[in-house]
Amino acid sequence: MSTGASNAVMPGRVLFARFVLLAIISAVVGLLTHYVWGLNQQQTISVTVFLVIILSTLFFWDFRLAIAFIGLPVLMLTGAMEMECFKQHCSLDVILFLIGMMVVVGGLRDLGFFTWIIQGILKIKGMTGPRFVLITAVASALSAAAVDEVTSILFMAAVVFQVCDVLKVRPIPFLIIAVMATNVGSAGTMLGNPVGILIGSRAGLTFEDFMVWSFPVMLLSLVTTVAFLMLWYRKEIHELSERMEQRRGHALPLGPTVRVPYMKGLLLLGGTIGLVALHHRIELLLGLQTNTVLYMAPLVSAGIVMIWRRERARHYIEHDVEWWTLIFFLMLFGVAGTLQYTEVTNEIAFSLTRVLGDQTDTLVPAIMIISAIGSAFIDNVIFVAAFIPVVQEMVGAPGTVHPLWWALLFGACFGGNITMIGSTANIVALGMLEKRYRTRVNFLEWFRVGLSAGFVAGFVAWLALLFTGPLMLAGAG
Amino acid sequence: MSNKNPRFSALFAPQQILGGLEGGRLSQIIHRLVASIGDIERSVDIEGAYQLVLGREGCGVMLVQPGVAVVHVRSEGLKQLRIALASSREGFACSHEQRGYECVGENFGPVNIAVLMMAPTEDPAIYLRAVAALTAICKREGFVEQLLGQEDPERLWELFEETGERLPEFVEARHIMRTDYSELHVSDSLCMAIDLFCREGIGEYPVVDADGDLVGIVSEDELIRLCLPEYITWMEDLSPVLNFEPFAEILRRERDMPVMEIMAFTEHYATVDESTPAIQVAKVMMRRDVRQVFVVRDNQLMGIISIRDFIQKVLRA
Repeated sequence: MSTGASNAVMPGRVLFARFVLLAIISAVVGLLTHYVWGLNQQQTISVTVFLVIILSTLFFWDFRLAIAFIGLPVLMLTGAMEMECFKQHCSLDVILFLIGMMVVVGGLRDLGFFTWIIQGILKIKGMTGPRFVLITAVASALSAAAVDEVTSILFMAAVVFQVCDVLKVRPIPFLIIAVMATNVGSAGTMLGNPVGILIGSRAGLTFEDFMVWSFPVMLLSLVTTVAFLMLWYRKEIHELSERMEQRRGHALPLGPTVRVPYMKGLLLLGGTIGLVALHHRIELLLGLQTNTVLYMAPLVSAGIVMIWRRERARHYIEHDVEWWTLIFFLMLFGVAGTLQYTEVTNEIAFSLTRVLGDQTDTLVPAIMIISAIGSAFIDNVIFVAAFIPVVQEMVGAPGTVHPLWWALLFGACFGGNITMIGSTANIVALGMLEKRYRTRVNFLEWFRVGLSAGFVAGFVAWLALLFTGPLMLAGAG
Repeated sequence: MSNKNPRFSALFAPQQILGGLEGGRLSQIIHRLVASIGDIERSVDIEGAYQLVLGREGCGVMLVQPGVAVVHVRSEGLKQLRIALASSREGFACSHEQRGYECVGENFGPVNIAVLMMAPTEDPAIYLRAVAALTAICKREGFVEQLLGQEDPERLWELFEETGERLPEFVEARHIMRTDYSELHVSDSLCMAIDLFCREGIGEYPVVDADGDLVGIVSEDELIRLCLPEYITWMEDLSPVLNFEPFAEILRRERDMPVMEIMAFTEHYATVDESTPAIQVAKVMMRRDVRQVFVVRDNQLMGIISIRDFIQKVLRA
């Protein structure tokens, strides 16, 4: 993902050096694609511009939207893209879905739903270190799957900070566990990660497909990841147990709790998830196009929230919806369409199958590794947006449940654990840590545990896909 | 003599010393000291400088040692720091009733030695450097008593000269730190911390262990956060907390809850060594976004420097 460093405070010399590096890499890759790979002029322009946008998220995180704004006209003016193509690829359905979910999350927070969950964890009797880790990890993963990874980490970090503050222990290990569980959990459903809804949208997959083929694999990966992390941080967890024991000895709670009227929030979330879960059945019943109800469900819930709490409606839209991110996604999805428009994705798919063959057993780990490594260093949404047309070329018609889609999903979500900039949840959590404790996690400290955890989760997912892949293909056939 | 760190005695001459006075009001003595500097600095507006000294509220007098008070004023037109001093066995009375004189320092009694420092506006640090040198001189065993035993200005000046004390090249943390601060001990109760917050109106206090080592800080922010954690503030509906329900636990336990419960550790506060340049202290404050810095020697708390100290000692003084 991004470097996380603000470009606004970066010295001009560093900015210039990064700009030169970006220009050199883009130019070299552009020339190589033209002279070595044999792409035509339009294909070379689309690859170069798209690469500039990807690299700008790495080098100039603050300017990513500005660069996407400039990149689109460059593609249009050079004939590497048309407005129709942009409209076709900008995934407005995904953007509307995310807007709806963000408003719902704002409503849930106001209604005390997250407060209720946190208090529920704090009130658990006989809490020990391992139990706390298990509960926070499972809660992080499930809440990521139920709402989204960023919301999940926002309130799970609050639990970790609260407990670590009162017990005077270092919060970093427990925050890392919660973030990594969030990333794994975000692969469980379409709601967990923008990557999930994007893949679902382009591949024509339903919520039920995710529940059948992705959710169980996510649970398996979660169990192994948490087991690994508990082993990795055994000393810290033991220390936490000791402090909890001492605190219990003094009959002290882990934090103040109050009576929370949680039922309205529970009803809102339950209704939204229920509608999302049943979208395919409703679509079949009403004879609607695939995923129509899926995209509209969060909007219906958001509309109800805004009528119900009309005095806060403007706040939800203006403050709870991440417009900056969503506009970037919109531009990015549209710009990524240039690769398909100029048929670069065909070329990539052709080259990949020429090198790796067309056997699913070989392509699954390859796609998983490529997407994991890609997502570890650049925004996983960018990577997946660019890679979806390539997988589409390999898979064929949309609406087919194919192991390659899940390989892309698991690679992108689990790959987020590899580096501290690998997912939005990581960056949000580290930002909270820095703001509260004025401390940073060392890149290598994260990388050592992240690479291992990412490998463990990815390995389990690969094994699972080895077994489920033939079932999917048989079902599709 | 080095230009960078001149001898303290080189900043004045016997003509600027009024020795063996019988006492009187400090304000009157200050007036005479300003006039004595005016004798050698014709360009200085003596009456204006005097009024400026009187106009100082709250920081007019600084005690560098018990009985040794420094009054400072900046004056346009001065080319170098000028010092004048007066001594009295009986002591000068600090006239509290006179607006503009409020004595700073917990051990304030009669002032036996009054030192006036007039500094050029172009040199913000010179006064603090001179105060640092004067403090070092006055800390010498028996020096103040020796001064009070002499009346002859020539001899008094020689006593300063004999010390050979020079101005430091730059102001260090120990020169501007406050040593008259309140602190909490790890065994103190939360109740004591709350009392301190209410009584002194300061937002955070250092917590030291039995050896005097700094182990953390206790702040009002942390106290409020303990009562009202972030997750409770997320709710828009205030009805569950309308009567301060989350505070109940604290109220029940404030007498037996140690300050350790709300103590923040090293990442929440900044420390510097005594020898850290004062400007570096200011930089630390800005970088760490803290309002005060703790001065330590091998983790032993020696003093506190707050943003207000900077304003008072560098800008206002």
